[in-house]
Amino acid sequence: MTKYIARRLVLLVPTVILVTVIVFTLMRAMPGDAASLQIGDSASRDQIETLRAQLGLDRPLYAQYFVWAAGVLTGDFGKSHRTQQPVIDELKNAIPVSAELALAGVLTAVAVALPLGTLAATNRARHIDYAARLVALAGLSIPSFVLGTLVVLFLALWFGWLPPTGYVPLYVDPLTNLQQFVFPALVVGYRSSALMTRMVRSSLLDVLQQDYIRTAMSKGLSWPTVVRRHALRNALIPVMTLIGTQVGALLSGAVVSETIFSLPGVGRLFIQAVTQRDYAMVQVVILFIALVVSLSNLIVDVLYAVVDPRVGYE
Amino acid sequence: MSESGNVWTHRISRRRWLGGTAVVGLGAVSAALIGCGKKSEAPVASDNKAAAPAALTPQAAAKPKNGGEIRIAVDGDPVSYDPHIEASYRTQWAIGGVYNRVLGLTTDLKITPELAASWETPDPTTVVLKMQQGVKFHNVAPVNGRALTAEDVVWSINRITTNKPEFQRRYMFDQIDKITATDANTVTIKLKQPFAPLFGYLANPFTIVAPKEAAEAKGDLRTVAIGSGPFVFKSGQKGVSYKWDKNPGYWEKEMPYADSYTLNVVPDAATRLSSLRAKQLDIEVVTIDQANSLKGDNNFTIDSVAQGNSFTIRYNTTRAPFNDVRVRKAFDMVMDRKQIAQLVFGGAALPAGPISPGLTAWAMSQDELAKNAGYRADKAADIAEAKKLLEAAGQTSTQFEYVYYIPDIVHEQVAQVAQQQLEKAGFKVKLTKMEYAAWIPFTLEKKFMMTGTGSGFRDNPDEYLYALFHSTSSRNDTGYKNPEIDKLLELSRSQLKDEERKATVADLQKRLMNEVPNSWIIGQTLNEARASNVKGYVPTYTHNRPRQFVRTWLDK
Repeated sequence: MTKYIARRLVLLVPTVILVTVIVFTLMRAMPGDAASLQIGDSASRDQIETLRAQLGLDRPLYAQYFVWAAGVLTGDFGKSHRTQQPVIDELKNAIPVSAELALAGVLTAVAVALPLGTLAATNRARHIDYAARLVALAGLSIPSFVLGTLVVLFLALWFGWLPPTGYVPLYVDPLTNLQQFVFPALVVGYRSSALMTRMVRSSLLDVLQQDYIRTAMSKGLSWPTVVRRHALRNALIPVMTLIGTQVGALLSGAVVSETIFSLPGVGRLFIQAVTQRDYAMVQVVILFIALVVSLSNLIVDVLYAVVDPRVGYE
Repeated sequence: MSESGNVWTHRISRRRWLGGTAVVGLGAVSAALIGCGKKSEAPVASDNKAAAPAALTPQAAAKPKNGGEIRIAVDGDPVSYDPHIEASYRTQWAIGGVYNRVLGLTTDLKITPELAASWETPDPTTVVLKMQQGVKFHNVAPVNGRALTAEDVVWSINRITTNKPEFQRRYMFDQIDKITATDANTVTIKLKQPFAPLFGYLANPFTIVAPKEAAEAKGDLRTVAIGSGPFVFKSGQKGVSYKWDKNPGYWEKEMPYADSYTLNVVPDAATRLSSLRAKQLDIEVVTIDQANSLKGDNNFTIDSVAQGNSFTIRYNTTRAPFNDVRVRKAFDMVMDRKQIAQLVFGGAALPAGPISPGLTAWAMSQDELAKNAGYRADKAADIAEAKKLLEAAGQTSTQFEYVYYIPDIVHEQVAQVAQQQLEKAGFKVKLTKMEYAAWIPFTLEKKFMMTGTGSGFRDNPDEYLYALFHSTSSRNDTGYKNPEIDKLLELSRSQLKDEERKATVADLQKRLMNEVPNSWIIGQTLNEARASNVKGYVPTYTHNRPRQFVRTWLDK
């Protein structure tokens, strides 16, 4: 297992480098750059060229990449073209917000999906199954921006109340932090729970058809015990994959929910950086996302072996 | 910016101005008392005459109360705090209350004293500004509450003219030959030639006086905001909020009334409106639909103010087909501005000429505009004439490309309505959308045929005319060249008497409307909703909002 993890960690390096090279090239291939955006449409061509030189954007692409990569190796991730502030500082501020939202969202999703998916699978083709599938289908069909906006409008119009805007860390003011994250977590979690509910249901239905379940039943075990101890544990392997990808995706930023609930997370930071052609900011966020996605996949793979003794990596 | 009152030929002092405004103020209070008890309604501009430049809800006079926090929201973070580099309203909303500018602007865009208490012009190329006495910077290191002097004004104006690309507004003062601090309270400006727009530019919202040592300590003013204004910077958290506290030593006595001012970053418009409803915000810019949804709710007051900006369609006059004035005219005549105002802006907009209708002192009146082809009520006659012009130019089978940029939905909507209007007249128009970052170089390199764009806030006729249509101006995107227009533009800059300059500006507008380098479509109106306990606040043009907070108080 240790060797496997070490090998995966080594492979992670070229993966991340490849991602940064692709994004670096694509960003520069897009028309318009930080210089023209910074001084707007009222500037002359000469002024834009001068600023491009000032920002180092007139250098060959490979030279710009190596300057950036050399900086990263020494811990210097660069400064924002727009604000002239170190990009790592802004990312550091955004990560806790996205991490908390991701964690709260996934916990909500798991808390909803496990019982709902199990109930649906164990009550197949009954009212409870139809209801669970309807809830899941709605979660998949309603876009986050619609659900988020409805939640905000509902709270404002019915209760004349909204969660405090912005972000207060949990350790500074737990109550305000809770108010800020409950509703975004519900919105994010509901969508994820829809996916997971369907996965739990279908996976559990598969497992419940297996011979060892029949064997367990014939041994006289109660139905809940069979489901809990024999079926659910085996059914969770594909669900874990889903949880892993959801955590990775949400840590990279739930852009819509962050926007609607005014949370200054990674997603908002990234979108803003792309539209402003803030190259250094885009690169550092992409680096972070690549690491998060790769590591979350690795953790899921390792957890397979923990949950299912049949899985081995030696 | 309105330069009425002829700032060049009359000596104006703060005392005199205050005397004048006191009379106006008494009138306003009387009008307000008469208007008391009227139900507040969103003054939606449904036709030319209904939309006055400022349609404000009367406020009853009452003794201002001290205390409380003024809370507003913005859709994104200011890129930086540097007033001499940035041009966005976001920066202005962040630092507008921190600083003072050399001259001020009233809510109806008239020049008033601010840091300069009075001024005189001994000759057409000399301006002498006398500064307010007793103005101090905030008591924050490294400035530590020292007195603001004429040297600070000189340093700030010189910094605005720094020859680096990021200093975008150095054109405002490029006619200054020399600026000196004659003594601690006097600034003398020597001009290269008579330059009428100077006072307008001195009152520009970004002509802000900052302390040199603050910029030196941090390298620039991007991350530091220490001024002489009513509010002192307290904290700023990107993506969250920016906070200011009352400046206890503010030079305008007894003000500001509020203890603090907070700018919350709320990117989503629906969330901002919900925050206003949930009493988390006190004042908010709303769309016309949102304004209508608040109609009848006594918790809010809604006002509508014409802005100093406009939406235009630019034609590339350097190449076919729009190098032919007949084609430009044909397109201009087909545009139904009232329909665009209604369909895209819900009626909260006015047909515009070359100068935005928000600049009432300089813009063509709605009655004047209505006499012109393209603005007339009889669109059938306009369309028939347009078809003839296009036929005469031999362009009836040409496929025209209209480029607009996103993500601003307004540009897309205007483009779609314009396309429908043009196609109804038989013109073939293809729409192409671009990201703003891509649109800038595309436009600068004059690759476009026609393109829709909105101008930001401009408070000076010079910015609408000379900047956009003089053949040597770097901001002349259409490539329009006309020696006669050039001469008139130069003349308008040299005329120091308002009546003469106004006549030239009026002539210029008429000629430009005949030449059609742009189709000027509409001037937008800003709709603002505020909680009913917010008093003393007068809605104004976008960049001036934080300056209103000095007189704003909360009736709690």
